Amino acid sequence: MNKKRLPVLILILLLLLSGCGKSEDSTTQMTIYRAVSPAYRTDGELLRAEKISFTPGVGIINSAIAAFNAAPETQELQNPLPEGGRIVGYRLQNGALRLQTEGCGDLKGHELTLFCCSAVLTFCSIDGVKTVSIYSVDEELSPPLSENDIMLADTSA
Amino acid sequence: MFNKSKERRKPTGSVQFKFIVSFFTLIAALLVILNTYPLIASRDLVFREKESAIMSQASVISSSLSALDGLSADSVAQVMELLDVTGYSRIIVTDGAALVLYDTAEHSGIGKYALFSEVDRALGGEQVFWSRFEGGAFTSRAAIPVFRRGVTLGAVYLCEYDAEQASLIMGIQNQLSTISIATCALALFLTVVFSRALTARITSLAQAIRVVSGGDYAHRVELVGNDELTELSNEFNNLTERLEITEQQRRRFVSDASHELKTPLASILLLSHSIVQSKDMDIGMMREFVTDIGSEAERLQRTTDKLLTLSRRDDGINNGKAPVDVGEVVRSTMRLLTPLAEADRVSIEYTLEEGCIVSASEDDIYQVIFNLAENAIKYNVPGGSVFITVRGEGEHVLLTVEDTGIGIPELDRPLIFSRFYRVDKARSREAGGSGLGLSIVRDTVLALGGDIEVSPREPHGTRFVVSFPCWIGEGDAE
Repeated sequence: MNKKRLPVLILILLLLLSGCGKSEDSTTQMTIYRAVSPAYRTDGELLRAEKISFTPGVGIINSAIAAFNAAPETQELQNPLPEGGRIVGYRLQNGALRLQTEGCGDLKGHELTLFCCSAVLTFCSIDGVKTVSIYSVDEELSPPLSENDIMLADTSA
Repeated sequence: MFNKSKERRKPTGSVQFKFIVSFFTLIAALLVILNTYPLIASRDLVFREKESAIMSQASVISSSLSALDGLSADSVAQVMELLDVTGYSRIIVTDGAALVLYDTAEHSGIGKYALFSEVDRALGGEQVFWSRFEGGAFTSRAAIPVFRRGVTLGAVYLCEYDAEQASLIMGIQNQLSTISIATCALALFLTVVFSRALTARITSLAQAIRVVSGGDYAHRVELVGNDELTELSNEFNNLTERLEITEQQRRRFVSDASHELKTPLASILLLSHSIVQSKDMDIGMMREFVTDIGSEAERLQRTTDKLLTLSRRDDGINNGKAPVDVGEVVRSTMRLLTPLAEADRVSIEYTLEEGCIVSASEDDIYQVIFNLAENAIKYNVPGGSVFITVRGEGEHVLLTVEDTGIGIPELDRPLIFSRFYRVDKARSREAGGSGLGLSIVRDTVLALGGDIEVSPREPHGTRFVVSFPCWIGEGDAE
């Protein structure tokens, strides 16, 4: 074998081996906040985190949006989005994430609060996201909120 | 069985241990109830009192806020300042979207969203209250909606942390626990003392039973107190006394029986040795000796027959019962005894009432009449008389046998029915008596449900009166 070609072959082999190693564990986990179904809310939490595995190939925020739009894995939880509603896009600028929704324009009051808080807690857990605002077309459903704007339990006593 | 009683008993198997465990468990259960029930009742009372107070306060706030056109941080703050509500660790007022408009907490949550389940339910129209006792304090939370014209404007949330009443209840709980532990210790001590006193008497009784089982029939248990154990000990003493008497009678009987059997046997042995050892005994003397041997053998046979009869009576073996005419049995018995009476020059007179029928076996009635009449003849005087009467009296048939003989001394009268008892031993043996006849009579009469009495006859002689129950025919019985 030509001695000049040997380092090239070793390099190719190492690259192939490193590729095989990555394919074994290509998924990671993220936290998606869901609304607890009304039947399970008695003296307990309203929102609960659900661990979701995803493949970070399409970008973490896109993966989070897809997971958020999907149905929860247990019947104790429910998607805070209204029926037919979903997050369709986003824009991230200087840590401020603007989510664009579809079919959520009719949400009001406490139901809107649950949806917005779920989204804020979910997307603020992603590195690089500080605040989350939600829009339906051009209408602002929620001003920019961070995790600190939400109290999940009274810890005063 | 004896070995089993001697086996080493486990401490947990003793009556004392069981008594202690039972009593102590009962006391402990009572104390547990006394410790828990008042505390549970006290807590429930506090819960109810807090629910009433906090819900009333929340209602006042809600009513005041419902007068506003809309809820804003400023308007709510003004109302709350007017109400001047104190005593709560936190008061929150939210709008319809759970956005906090008013918050008394140190780190105020105004402008934040209160996603508490209580607020959520209040915004849904419910009135919520719960209180729990943990960590040495009562934590109570309440939330009620703020309505205006049927529309939910927001919610009022109150939280109270009360360590004072909790401390009071815990103090009572500690005192109760201390008292309970002391009571338990005292109960345990008293249980041990009382159970030991109780079981000591049982142990003493068991020890006495073992002593008596070993053959010491004179042993008695000391009677203490006047309870069931005293009664049991008394019954044990009575039983042991009867056992002692029975054992004495048995020993005397065996001794007497041995003696009664040994005497004719010794005579037979002596006579037979005399015949064997005498080389030139004449035929007349030899015949006399052989006759004596025959007499002694007959006596031996009579004694063993009577012992057999008594033994059968003792074993409860009864001859079959049937209607028996006592007068008829008297007649047939007299026919058998007439030669004996003639030989002793004793006359027999009898008066027999018709229809004196008893339920018995004919052999039993014969035994009674024969033995009494034979004694009346044997222990009479030459030229004397025997009077036999059978008559009915109410539901009884009375058989009276009287003689004009030598009579029975008063001291001997209670003993004449004892086995092998003889008033005049020499005369009895001479007359061929075994000392068992009257015992057989007494046992037979008692077995038939009757009774026998002996009394002196004036001017001399003895009178036996036997009472049998009348036979009641099938038609009469109905």
